[in-house]
Amino acid sequence: MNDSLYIAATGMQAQQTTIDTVAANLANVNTPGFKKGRVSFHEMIETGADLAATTSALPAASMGIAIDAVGKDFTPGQLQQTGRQLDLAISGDGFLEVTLADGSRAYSRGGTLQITKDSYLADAHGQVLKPAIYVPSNTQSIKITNDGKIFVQLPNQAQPTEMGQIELVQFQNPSGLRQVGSGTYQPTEDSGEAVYGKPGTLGLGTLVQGSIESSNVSLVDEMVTLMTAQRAYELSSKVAQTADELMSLTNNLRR
Amino acid sequence: MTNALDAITHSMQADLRYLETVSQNMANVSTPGYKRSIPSAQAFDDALQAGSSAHLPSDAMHFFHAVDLSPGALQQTNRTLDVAISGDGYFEFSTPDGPAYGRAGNFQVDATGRLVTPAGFAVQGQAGDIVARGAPPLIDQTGHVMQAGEVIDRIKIVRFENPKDLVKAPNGLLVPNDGSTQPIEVSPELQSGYLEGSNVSPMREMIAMLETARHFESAQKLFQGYDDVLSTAIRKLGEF
Repeated sequence: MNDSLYIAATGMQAQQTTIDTVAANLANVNTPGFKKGRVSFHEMIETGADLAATTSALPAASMGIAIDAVGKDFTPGQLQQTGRQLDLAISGDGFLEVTLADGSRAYSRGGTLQITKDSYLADAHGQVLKPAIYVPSNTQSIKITNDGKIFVQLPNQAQPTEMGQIELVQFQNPSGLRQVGSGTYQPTEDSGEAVYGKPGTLGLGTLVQGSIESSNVSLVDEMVTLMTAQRAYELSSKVAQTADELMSLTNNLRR
Repeated sequence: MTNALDAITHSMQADLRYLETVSQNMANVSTPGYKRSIPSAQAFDDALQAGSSAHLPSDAMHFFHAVDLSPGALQQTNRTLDVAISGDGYFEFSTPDGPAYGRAGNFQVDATGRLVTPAGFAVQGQAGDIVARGAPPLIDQTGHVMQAGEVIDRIKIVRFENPKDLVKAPNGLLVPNDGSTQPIEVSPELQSGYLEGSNVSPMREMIAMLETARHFESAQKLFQGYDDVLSTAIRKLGEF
């Protein structure tokens, strides 16, 4: 009936989604390892089947704006030094592989590690790292090198003992990963297969012990996006009001 | 008698189409790379002449949308795969209906390693699709796509002799209307980490909208006045 109204509605919906994403990002501005959400749009046009038959350019029907995807932006966040030996961050690209409670594989960007009651190295949620690194209960200190080797210092030993090697995982399109828990992701068909490698090789990042990766949300960017989204929402709502007015005028043609 | 009604109907239909265009522009005020639609219609007199013989008035009016190709403002996003073109030129994308063009540079890598738009259309380089398997690619100022320090391909950027020939296609892309204008390759500078915004001016659209609404109201008043005249005529003449 009145296409302008529906077009304005798509505009308002798109800006609403933007504001929702900004809200989620701002709420997590201080969450370690948080990856900000990103919305992408494009214009919607519907071309008629008989478009080719006309010589004067009869326009395709405008349909408004459509949302492509609400994805995650995996730009690395800044590293903050904490000095704690169980804090592990990845400097650059790559994910650590962990095993979920149901046995499936998932990927994480690190964070504060812990030692489970079975003496294995796990992430903050208790999900064991893969390959499983055994840490004896009488360990004095743990050292993780940049290229992923884990050494533990046992009492009565002169040299630290190597307990394992962590490999990092890379994806073709990290934005296609699906989030399954806080900071934990699983691959989907959009993300590509997991490619393993030693830290520092194949473009993968290195491990940094004693640091935590902070959230990659930029306060300034989010505030600017919020302001423009709000005004854009208002614009579309004005169009909706005008369309409504015109419909009212049409209805009152006959008094 | 019929002519007055025809004229009013044409006028109101034109206003509604105009509002549709304004609405489309307003909805896309922050869409990257969006180009404003300029509504234009053929001369009113011509439409009226043609319209009196057409079954429905709207069939006779030919509305065509010109596309305003002026560049939008650059926004800094600091995203490695966002690029903006400084100056004239369009990216080329491969779609199922043939090549399409656009200025929106928000690219990403899909599951097979191809450089694509968010809608999934492959960005064309000098050698066709750009595939970057493995480490994440970077795009430098000359349009070369680098991966781990090596150049994989160069993004293809074209310009048109007659840009007026470009019309809008689905998914925010532009295509040449009947293939009369051929793309010519150029090498402008690219800005990495920037995205070109929409070229819509909210103020201009707002004024167009107000103008349209009042114009529509005038047509409505005309109609009501005419209705009154008819009503009076029927009553007076019927008194005989």
